[in-house]
Amino acid sequence: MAEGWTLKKTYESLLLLDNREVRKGWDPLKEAVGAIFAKHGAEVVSARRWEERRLAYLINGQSRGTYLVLYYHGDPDQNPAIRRDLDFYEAVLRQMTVAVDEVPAEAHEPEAEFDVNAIPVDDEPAAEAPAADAKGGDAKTGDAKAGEDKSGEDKSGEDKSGEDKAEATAEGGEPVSGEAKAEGETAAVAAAGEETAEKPAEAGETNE
Amino acid sequence: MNDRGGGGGGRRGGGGGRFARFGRGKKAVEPDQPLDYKNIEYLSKFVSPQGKIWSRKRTGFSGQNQRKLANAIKRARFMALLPYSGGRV
Repeated sequence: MAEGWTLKKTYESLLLLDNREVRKGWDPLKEAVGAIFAKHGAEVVSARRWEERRLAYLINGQSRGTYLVLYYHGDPDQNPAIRRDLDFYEAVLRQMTVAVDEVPAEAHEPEAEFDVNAIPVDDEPAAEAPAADAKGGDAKTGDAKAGEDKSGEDKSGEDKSGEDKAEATAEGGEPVSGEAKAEGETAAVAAAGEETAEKPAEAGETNE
Repeated sequence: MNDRGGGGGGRRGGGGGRFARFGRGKKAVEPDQPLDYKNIEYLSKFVSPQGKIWSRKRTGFSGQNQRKLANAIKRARFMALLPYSGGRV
């Protein structure tokens, strides 16, 4: 084998990026990830955002993430080093590299505009709230206070609903319904009485 | 008597040994779309509500395509595109 000869293959790498880092800026993050590949002699053909979506399960407390698809030509021997560097890079939550025959045509299309501020906020604070409660009253975080306030609001809401009910009863909602009920009951009893009174007569007629 | 494919030895006709019961006399179903791990909508059709991969008997795929399907689903699971078990978190 001639010296300096290296086998280069085409790879597709899918990276799951932390939305907290993505919000700081998409282009700098993409360049930083590309630099890791370039550092190990890989020729990055295409790097584009694939999708920002909800994850199937929580990773590092994150329920959403942004996927970056990256195609590159590189030496297979350098892949472990690239993987190791990506593992140490905090913005990358998950990564997977697979060998592909060729770079698909869609990879060369220009990337659609990505508004970083439009990323929905995931439910990270809700996941941290139980931990804050477990610490007790000494460590009161803003979230915990907010939660308390919210609970207070909820309680007030419940009280209001209770007041509304009380008002409704005080305005004569129940008495009216009570009268109606009483009228209904008397009417029903009277009707039942008539029926009972008629039935024996009918029964008597039939017996006769 | 014992008509199950797993027996081997005394079966009449046909070969295939232990895999003979799958799709005997049937043509394998071809996937409509590429079995790629990023093609989540299509892959999720072959996953039960509990997250299990459908059997080859149910998908009707050839052995090669069933293996591609299983690998694609496992890759999608690793990348948090599909759940390992059950529905959403």
